[in-house]
Amino acid sequence: MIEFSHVYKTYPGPVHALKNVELRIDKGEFVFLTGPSGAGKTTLFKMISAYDVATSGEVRVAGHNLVTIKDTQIPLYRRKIGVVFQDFKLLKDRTIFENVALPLIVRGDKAPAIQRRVYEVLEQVGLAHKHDQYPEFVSGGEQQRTAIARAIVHQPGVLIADEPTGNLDPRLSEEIMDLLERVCAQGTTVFVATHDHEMVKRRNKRTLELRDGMIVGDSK
Amino acid sequence: MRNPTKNWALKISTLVVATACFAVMSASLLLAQNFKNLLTLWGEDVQMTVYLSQDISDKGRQDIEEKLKASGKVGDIRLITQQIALTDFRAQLASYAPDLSQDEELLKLIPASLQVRLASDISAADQTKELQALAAQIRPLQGVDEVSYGQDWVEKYSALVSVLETTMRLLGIVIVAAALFVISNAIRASVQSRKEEIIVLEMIGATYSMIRKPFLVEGAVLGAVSSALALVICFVLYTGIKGLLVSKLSFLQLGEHLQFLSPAFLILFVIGGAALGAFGSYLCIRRINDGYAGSQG
Repeated sequence: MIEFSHVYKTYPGPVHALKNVELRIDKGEFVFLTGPSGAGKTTLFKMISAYDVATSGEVRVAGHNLVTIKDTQIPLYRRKIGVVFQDFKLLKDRTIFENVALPLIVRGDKAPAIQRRVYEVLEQVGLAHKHDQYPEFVSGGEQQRTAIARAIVHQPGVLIADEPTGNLDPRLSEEIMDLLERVCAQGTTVFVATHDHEMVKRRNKRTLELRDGMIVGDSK
Repeated sequence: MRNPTKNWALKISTLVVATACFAVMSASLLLAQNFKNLLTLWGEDVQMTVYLSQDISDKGRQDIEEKLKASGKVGDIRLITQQIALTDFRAQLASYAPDLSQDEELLKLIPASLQVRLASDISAADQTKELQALAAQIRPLQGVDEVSYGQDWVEKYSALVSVLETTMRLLGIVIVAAALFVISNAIRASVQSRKEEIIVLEMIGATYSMIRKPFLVEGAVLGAVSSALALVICFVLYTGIKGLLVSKLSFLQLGEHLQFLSPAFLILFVIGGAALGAFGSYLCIRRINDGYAGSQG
C-alpha cells in the first residue's frame, strides 16, 4: 500500500532530507513514525501526499508511482488518500457538516449521498449533534475529530496524520488515537507521525524511527 | 453555506479601489471622446478654397470639380460665383468700409471660387496631408488662380489633434496597466485571505480548475460590478459638469456639444471590466498549485 524503495531527497544546499529510505506498509496496517524534529518526517509525508518528489528512488502509494505521476493525475490520486494535520486545517467559514462534506463535493457525489455519508461519519466520530456548528465554537479535540472525519469520509485506502495530537491534551490525544485505530480496523492503512513516545509505547503498534533522513528502527 | 460576515471589509475595500480605478478610466474615455467631438467640430471649419481665373469657362470649372471629386477625398464642393462673393464682401464690409464696398472697379477683382470640404471619414490628424495633396493636384490646372486652405491654422490644428491622440493613447495604456495592477493586487489579498481554503482544496483532491474557477469568477464579477459603479459615478459627474457649462458658462457653447458614452460603449466597458478582472485574477492565481500545503511544516 505504501512502498519506498531506495528513496533519496536532496534540497539545494545541498541538504539531504532523506537517505536511502526503504519501507513497506501493507494494507490495513497501523504504523507510527517517530524521530526528532528535522529527521525528515514531514518530507516523507509530503512525498506520500504528492507535494514533493523524490530526487531518486521509487515511491508507490495506493497503486500510484509518485515519482512519475503526471500533474493532472495528482488531484485524482489525492482523492484516494486522507490527510490529517496537527493544526486541523478546517475552514472557519463552513460548518462541521460542510467541512466534512468537502471531499465528496470535490469528487462530484450527489447531494443525498453526501448527506447520508457525512452523517454516518459524524456519528462514527461522535459529532453528529454538532453538525451545524462552526469549527471555532467547538473544542480542540472536536476540531481534530472533524478533520479526521473529513479525511475518511471518502473511504481512502491510506490515511496519513502528521502530529495529529500535537495540539491536544493527553486525554483528548488518547481519544484521537482510539478513533484512528477504529479507522484502521475498517481496513484503512494508517500512518501517524508523532513525537509522543509514551503514547507509542502504550499503543504497541509497528513503529518506524527516522533519524537524519534514514530509517534507523523498525519494530516490525 | 458560508459565514456571511466573512471578509466583508476586504471585499468592500477591494470593490472601492477597483471602482475608483475604473472611474478614472471611464472619465478619461469620456474626456477623450468629448475632446475628439470638439476637435471634429473645429475640423469641420477646415476647408480649401480654389480661386478661379476671370476667364474660366463653365466646362473648365466642371473639369476642376470632376477632378476634385475623382480624388475620393472630397465631401462637398460649393461654387461661390463672383456675384455671391461680391454680395458677401459687401455684407461683411458695409459697416467697416462703406466707401470700399461701393468701389465697383475694385470689386470686379474679387474672383469666383470653389469651397471644398474634405470627406467626413478623413481623420483630423490626416486633414493637413490630404489638403496638401489635393492642393498640389489642383494648382497646376488651367483656370485655377490660387489654392488656399489656411495652411497655418490647419497645420497647427493637426498637430494639436496628433498630440492629443498620442497623449490619450499613452494615458489609456497607463490607466489599463494601473487597473490591472490594482485589481490583481486586490484579488491577491483575497487569495491570501483564503489560503487555508486553497490548502484544504488541494489536499482533498480538487483539480486546478476547481480551485482557480471561483477566483476567476470573483475577479470577473468584481470587474463587472466596479466598472458599472464607475460608470454611474462618471455619469453623475458628467451631468453635474454639463449642467454647470450650460448654466454658468454658456458663452463657451460647449454644453450642447458634450455627449455621454454610447449605450454600446457602456456595455463594452462593463464586459471589458469583467475581462480585466478575470485576467487580474488569473495573473495572481496561475501559480496557485505551487503547493501551499506542501510548504507546511
